[in-house]
Amino acid sequence: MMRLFATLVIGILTMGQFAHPVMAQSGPLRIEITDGVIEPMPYAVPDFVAETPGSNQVSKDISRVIAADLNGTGLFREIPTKAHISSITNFGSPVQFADWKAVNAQALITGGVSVSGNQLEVKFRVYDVFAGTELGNGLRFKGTTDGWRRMAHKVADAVYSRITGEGGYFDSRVVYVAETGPKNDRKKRLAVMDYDGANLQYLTDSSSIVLAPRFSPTGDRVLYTSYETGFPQVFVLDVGSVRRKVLSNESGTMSFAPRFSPDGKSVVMSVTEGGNTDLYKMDIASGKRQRLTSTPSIETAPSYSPDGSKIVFESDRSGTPQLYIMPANGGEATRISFGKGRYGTPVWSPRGDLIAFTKQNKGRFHIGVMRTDGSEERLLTASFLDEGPTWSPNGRVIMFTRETRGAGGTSSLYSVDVSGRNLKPVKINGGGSDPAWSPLQ
Amino acid sequence: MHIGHYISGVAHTGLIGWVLLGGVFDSDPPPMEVVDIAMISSAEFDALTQSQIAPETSTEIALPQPPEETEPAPEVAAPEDAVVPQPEPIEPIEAEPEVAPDLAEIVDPTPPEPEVAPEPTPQLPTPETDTAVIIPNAPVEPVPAPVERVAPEPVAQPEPDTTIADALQEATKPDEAGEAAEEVKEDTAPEAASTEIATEPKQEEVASAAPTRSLRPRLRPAVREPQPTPAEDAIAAALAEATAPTESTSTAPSGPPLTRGEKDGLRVAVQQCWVVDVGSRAADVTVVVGLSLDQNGKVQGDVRMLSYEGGDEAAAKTAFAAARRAVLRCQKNGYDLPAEKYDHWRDVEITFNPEKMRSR
Repeated sequence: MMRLFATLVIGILTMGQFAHPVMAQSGPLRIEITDGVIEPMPYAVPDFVAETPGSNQVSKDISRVIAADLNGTGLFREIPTKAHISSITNFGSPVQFADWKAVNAQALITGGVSVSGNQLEVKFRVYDVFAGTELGNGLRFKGTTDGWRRMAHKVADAVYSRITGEGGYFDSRVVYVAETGPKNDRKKRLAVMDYDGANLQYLTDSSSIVLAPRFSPTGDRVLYTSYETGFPQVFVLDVGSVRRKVLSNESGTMSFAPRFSPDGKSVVMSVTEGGNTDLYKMDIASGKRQRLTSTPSIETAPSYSPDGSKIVFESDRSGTPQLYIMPANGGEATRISFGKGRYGTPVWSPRGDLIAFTKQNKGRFHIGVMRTDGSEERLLTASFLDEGPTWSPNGRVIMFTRETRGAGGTSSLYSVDVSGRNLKPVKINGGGSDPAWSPLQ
Repeated sequence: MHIGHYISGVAHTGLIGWVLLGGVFDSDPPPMEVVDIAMISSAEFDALTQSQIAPETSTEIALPQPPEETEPAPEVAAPEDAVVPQPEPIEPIEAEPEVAPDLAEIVDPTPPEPEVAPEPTPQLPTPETDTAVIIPNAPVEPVPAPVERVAPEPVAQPEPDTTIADALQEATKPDEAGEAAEEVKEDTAPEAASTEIATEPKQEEVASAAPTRSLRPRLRPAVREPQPTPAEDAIAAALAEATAPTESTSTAPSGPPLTRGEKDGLRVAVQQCWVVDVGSRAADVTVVVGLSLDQNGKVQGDVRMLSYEGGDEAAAKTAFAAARRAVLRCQKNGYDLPAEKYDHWRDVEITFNPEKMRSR
């Protein structure tokens, strides 16, 4: 019995020694979370406080534009004013975070607007409600009353940046081809507008066909292809003065698909000469041209990487249109698209990490993105005809052309988040195609 | 002498021989022992292990409820502080006008990045945040919390006397408006609890929860100190760490660790508030945050970013902000954790890994 007892005791003690390390918890409790939710962040933007007698309406308008900008991203959801249980009557008053927590506002935007003559001043603050802290410091903008929308966009950009940690894209413009009339007699002219469709302005008349406008890196010039001379030629247009000139005017050649280099000093484009289409680089100041490709196939739709070191383009050298990348000064090209179907119109993301493209497969068109090495291809859209992607300045949104089927089909502009969410039409007057996003102003 | 030696030698030889030979011929004990050992390992081991596990689970489940009762009391105390710190926000406004922004920047197409109020604002905002942190916690909790928490607790206490409820109703009616009193007719206990909340210092009445409440006041002052000192976080953290170990070392080993279910409960509670922006660079960042909880399961002090991996600093900041919002937003009245194991979840490290989210 003694031995039995001793064995039991030893056994229990031994078990305890082995069990203890397993059961024991040293240090803090550690857990890992891998599943979250994908949903818009609720926020509140009460009407900005009108600090001068004549600023009531503009203060409300500015608040609405800010809300429209943020809501349009699909990343934010405004909490209706009716649901607010607290109001902001003085920009300097302390924020009652409890009231905004109660309506589940995760972010709060407050602001004040004052008008003096034609001078407008807008100031704002952004708060993280649940942390009870202000995000960044207060900002103030001054301008003229007729530029109130742009000031609202700037506020929205700052708010977006503070919450997401990335740059915004609201204070930007889009140049595109405005289309009117039936499909068999469609009138096309260049138009420029705010990214949200406001402040539309036509840059050319509809006397000749225009195609594929592209903004310069500073947003003050636009490259485009026009049939003004009877065959396609590349023009450059000054947005401010609306004055234009032919960039490439060599007889017997056709030039198209132009795009600025990141430094804005040169242009890369396709030139058809002797029945063969290759890529050329042209210095804008001197007009000197450098040949980048020399193959019997068609090379077109070139787009620089953000650092200007590489060019992605479309070529049918393999038999079908595919995407290739080569050094900016020409050289050996590497194919990056290997999926089924035809690839075209590649555009390098401002972030530098992705390439947007048009893909045609099994009678459907798609807008997609892939890594610069061709990996992780994702198709973001699918329709009868989607084409011509362009990136927002922050590389977060892609705008493109969508055309509907049939003789009465129309072209319109759409945008989609790079995640494939928030697909929606862009508000424009009439039809439109070939959008190109400007840099942030 | 020789005879004595002979006798002694014979006796010892006989004794040794008996021990050796007796053990050899007596074969019964060994086999019995062997058999007994085999029987022990199969039967009694199971019995022993079961008996050990059983008590642990039973205590874990039974105790959590009482500690929750103590939560409302501290929350009520917070409102008092909320009123004080608010005047500070006014200062930033005065500071802004001082900075003369450029009119041309916005009017012209050239990008004028805003005229910030760099000099004044940076200094002022910090106090705002500090005060703000204190303010929100107080007013928010009292509204939703008291009803939910108070109700369950009193219900458990009234067991002995059901008749007491009538007396309590009478007492509450005169104190406040009739509206609340009438609505709470059925919930006689809640009203009694509301009076308890108002009289925080009188902890004698809540005898069962006395020990947990006594600890709360100690923790709250520690919370406020780190908040107002942004630049001195490191010092405050170092002091906190220096003091924490003494307490934790004395208490940590005492109770059983959290079960997998209890950990899952905390994970689920937090993840439902973790909003991931899958299209952002922050979705490439795995961030680890650290936080401390009071005995009611509420976050005390700041949520800290301990480390990050997979992105740049800006993306990490955004990822951390989303993680912090998740922790703060879903705590509501406090995370549901077993009070008797407080030493095991006083300090928590949560890893937010969005890898799976990116593929959605």
